[in-house]
Formats: sequence, C-alpha cells, structure tokens
Amino acid sequence: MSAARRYGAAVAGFGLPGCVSEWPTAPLQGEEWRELLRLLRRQRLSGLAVDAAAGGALCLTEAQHDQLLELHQRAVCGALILEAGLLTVTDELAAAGVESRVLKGAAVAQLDYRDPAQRLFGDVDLLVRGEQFDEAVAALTAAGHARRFPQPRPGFDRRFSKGASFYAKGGFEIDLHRTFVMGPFGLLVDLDDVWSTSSSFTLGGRTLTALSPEHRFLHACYHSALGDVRPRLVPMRDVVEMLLRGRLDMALVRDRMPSWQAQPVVARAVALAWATLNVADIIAISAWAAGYSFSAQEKRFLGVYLDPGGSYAAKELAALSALPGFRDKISFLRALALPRRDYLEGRHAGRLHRLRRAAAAARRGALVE
Amino acid sequence: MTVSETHDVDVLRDHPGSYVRNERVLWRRAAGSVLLLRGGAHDVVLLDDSACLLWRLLDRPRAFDQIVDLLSEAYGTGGQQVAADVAAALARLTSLDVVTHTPEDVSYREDTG
Repeated sequence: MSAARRYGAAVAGFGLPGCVSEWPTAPLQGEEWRELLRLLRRQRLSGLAVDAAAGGALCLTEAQHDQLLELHQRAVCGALILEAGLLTVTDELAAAGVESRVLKGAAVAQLDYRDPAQRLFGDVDLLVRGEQFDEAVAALTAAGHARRFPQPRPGFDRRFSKGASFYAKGGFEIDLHRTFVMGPFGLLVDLDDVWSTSSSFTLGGRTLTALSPEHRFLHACYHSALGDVRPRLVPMRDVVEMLLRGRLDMALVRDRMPSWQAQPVVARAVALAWATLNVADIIAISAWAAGYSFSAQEKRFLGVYLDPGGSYAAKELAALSALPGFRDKISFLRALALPRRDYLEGRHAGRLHRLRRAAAAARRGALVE
Repeated sequence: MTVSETHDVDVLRDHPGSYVRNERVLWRRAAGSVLLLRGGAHDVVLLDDSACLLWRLLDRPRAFDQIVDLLSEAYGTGGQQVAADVAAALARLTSLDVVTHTPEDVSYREDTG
C-alpha cells in the first residue's frame, strides 16, 4: 500500500475512538505528498486532514499546510454551493407535490458529524417514492435540469431502477434515488420501512427531511460496501462514525437486516471499515461482521457490484432473481432486453451488444473474499 | 442597556437595536475561517479570524454594545478600537445581507437568559 493510501486511511479515521493508525513522523516529500494531496481531494478528506494537522497527527511543512487549507476552502465552497442547490431542488420537487428525503453527504454532514466541515460531498442526493418518481423527473426536467440517461422503457424507473442522474443547471449533479443502490440489493430494500420514519435538520433557515439514524447507517453500509469497486474512504468513515458516536437503535438495525437481506452488505461494510480505518475497538456488530459467512447467493450478488468489468446491465440481470413476482420479472426482462432506442444511444452498439456484455459480466460472477 | 464606560457614546447612538445572522445564509467553519453563501448568491464570502468570532457571537440577537463588550473581553483590548472595528465589520456584513439588523433591542443576554 502506498504512503498516500496508508495516510489517507489514517486521515479518514482521525478522531474516532479506538483508531490506531500509523502517522508519518515527518512531512512527506515530493511525489508522496502530491499523491496524498490528490487523494485527499479525490476522497473529499480535506476537512479531516485539516483537523489531523491541527491535532498534531498529520505532520506538514508550512507550504503543505497552506496547500491543504486552500484545498479545504475550495471543498467547503463546493459543499455550500451544493447545499444551495439542494434547497432549490427540494423546492422544485415540493412545488410539484413530490416528497423527498435528503440522502448521503448533505444530510450526514449535518446530522452525524460533530463538525459538518469534516464531511464533504460532491453531489445532491435525494430519495423520492417510486410512485412519485415520474413526477419528480418531470419536475426536475421542467426546472431545466438535464437527465443523463433515459429510462430503458416507460415505467422502469418507478418500479425497478435505483434512480436517475441529472446535470443540474447550476453545474452540479443531482442523483434522484428510488432506492439505495441498483441491482439485487437495491430491489431488496423495503422502501415502506425507509419512508416510515425520518429525521430533520435545518439548512439556510429551512427544515429538510432525511432518513432516520438507523436507515442512514444502513444506507451508509450500502454506499460503502457496494458503491464503488474500490471502496471509498468517506463512506467507511460514515459507517464507523455512526456506530461509535451515533445513538443508533441497534435492535432496529438488527430487525431490518434480515427483512432487507442486508446482512452481507452490512457485514462487508463494517468489516471493511474496521480493517481499513484500523479501528481497534471491538463492538458487537464489528465482531459479528468479522465472522460473517457469506452464502453462495450472497457472494454472487456481491460479485456483480465488485467486478471491475461489471456493467449496469450485469447488475440489473443479477437483480432478476431478487424480484418477487413472475409478472415483475417479465416486465423487467422486457425492459432490459428491448430498451427504447434513445436509451441505447451512446452506450451500446445495439441491443445484442448490450445483452452480450451483460451476459459475459454475469458469467464472470466474481466472488468476494 | 448596559454601556461599557470605555465606549464612545456617539458610536453606540449610531448602532441602536440588535444584530443577528441571517438564517438563510449557508455557512461552514473551515480551519479558522468561516465561509458564507447567501441564498441565491454565487459568491462565497470568507471571514477572517476576528470576523469569525463576531460571526460566532451573532448566533443570537445581540446589541452593538454587548458585542463590543464581549470582543473587548476576548481580545483584552480597549473598547474604543474594538467598537470601531465592530462597527466596520457589521456594516460590511449587513451590506452583504449575511447579518440582519433590527431597530429594536431584542438581544439575548446571558445574565437574563
């Protein structure tokens, strides 16, 4: 592991109880420092790095300190601009009668971190109900935001998809979610549970609604375990931050896991976060995660998220077995096999090309450790 | 209204009422600075160290003299210079619409709750 990656993980765990990361005893030099700075920018860790430097853990030269402060101020400006965008977008949805919940960074920064400047983010994530998804898309489109990819067939969004992404007219990205992730694990989340509770926070004098603490924790696990082939450090921090500093009702978390079939997701997220951020403290869920035994189907499901060559279509094909009814399976397959032409444009040479890629990725069935 | 003896009475006469953060402003502390973004604006305002302390105090309505007293105590300096600096800073912050001025003294005082 490179010095940048090692110290980046230490930064991600800075200030958490029980983190026993190794820190450099002298400022990194030359390319090693530049690599760490790039990592801090890419992984949005400048806030924690500033705190680690102030706390004496991250040893920097004066020039490096100035570079870090400049990076952090830029990142904070970005977060503020996104928050302004979030307020606009939630207004646009509310005006169309669409209820929303703020997801991920914008909510977690305010609700789960002692200092919101520690939790930076790069886009606006909102959850809307499946039955209101088409109205939400119409409202955002009418407001001038551009959807990145059309849905495969009408009705697919509100029944099966993870959601839709938009280029906002303010120059940022909006992720409109119906569920937490695409693929099988996203379809298994009980969205009635998710919508049954909420938390709220104030931003710019307005009250916004987010998920309940336990659902924010579960979402952080989905984001951390399944969001990227190479897991990102900030979602791991979220997982540990919520477990060690939050006030979670673990009985509720334990109740949700089997009904959403989320055990492999939570086990992977917690074990990964504990190992990567060097958390020495053992708590009940970390001990459970460390000893979790993945079934063959869980490995197959996880595999489609962790395969570096995996495609959107491969995740969706794997999702087929997570769909409950025969009619749903047929509708789902039809949408994937015979998407509208505008859906294929710029993504695949044609329907056959798309199917071949999906089948090849599904056959690879990469297994997780 | 409590007036510190060290204050120039003319300065206080020019600043009746109370000041508070505009609640519509988005803001973050960032490594000793505070960054502010007004609703509908595109430019982020950066506050330096001394203005950061002023910003912190304005989490509730405060009268000018109260702000000056608190900052004089924090910096251990005379009220006259602090009053002039606070007046300038408040003028700038209100012109940027990140701080709101109300003519009535609705200030929060620790001693009265």
